[in-house]
Amino acid sequence: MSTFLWNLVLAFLWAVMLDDITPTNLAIGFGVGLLLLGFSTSQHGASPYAMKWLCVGHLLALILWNVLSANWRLAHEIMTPGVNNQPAIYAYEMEARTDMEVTLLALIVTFSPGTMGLEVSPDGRLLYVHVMFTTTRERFTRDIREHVERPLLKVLR
Amino acid sequence: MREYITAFFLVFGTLGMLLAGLGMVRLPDLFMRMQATAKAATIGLGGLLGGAMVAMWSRSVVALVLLTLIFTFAIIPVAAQLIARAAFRMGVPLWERTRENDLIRKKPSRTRPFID
Repeated sequence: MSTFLWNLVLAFLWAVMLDDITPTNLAIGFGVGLLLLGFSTSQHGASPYAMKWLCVGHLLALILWNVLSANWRLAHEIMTPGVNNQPAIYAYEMEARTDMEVTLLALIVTFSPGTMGLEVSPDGRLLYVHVMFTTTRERFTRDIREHVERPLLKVLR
Repeated sequence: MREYITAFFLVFGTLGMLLAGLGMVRLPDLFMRMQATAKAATIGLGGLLGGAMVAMWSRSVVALVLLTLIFTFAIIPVAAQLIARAAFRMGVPLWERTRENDLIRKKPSRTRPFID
């Protein structure tokens, strides 16, 4: 978090030194600062800050892809005659714990193909999900865990 | 060139909205209908706003469109989830081919019934 503040400070400094504070200059300064902070690290390997940004990009790309493929499958279901899938309501055991994580998880689950969050159990461990396309319980759990929850938790933790 | 991109976005968004409407009519129960509306309305609104953004390419319009997209992307799933949950608690029936139901039907916590 403090690295992010440093990044903002660098962006501001860049714009001030160019003597012209515009959104374009601020954005360029942010990019330059990101490169600097990404490559300057005291440990071996990739810097944690750069990895965090990669995770954010991965999550956003995943959400976009989920929205598109969800609509594609939904269109196929609606346009072909009859409803050929058997829906179900599954309880999903969350790894997310805090309110923030649970809220964001429920939000992203609603965007992924065929699933919609229905309710969170009172102790905050189970998320009840309405699944529209036929799957098995194991496949559903694995899909959500690997394609939705892990990338989200990587960003938040 | 810009006209073609605008037209692509507008057609895309309109098809999304059409999908939401058709899903409302053709799917069998309320929960599947909520899924159709939540997903297709999101992409439909995204397409229409994207078309508007490309057509009027100026800083204030881009900022407004991005803000609107962020807020709708945050609001639409919440609305869908709340409507579906309220329907479930009221006892709206699931489609008869629903295979499994982990969420046991609880009694509504209030003593007064929802519908008088």
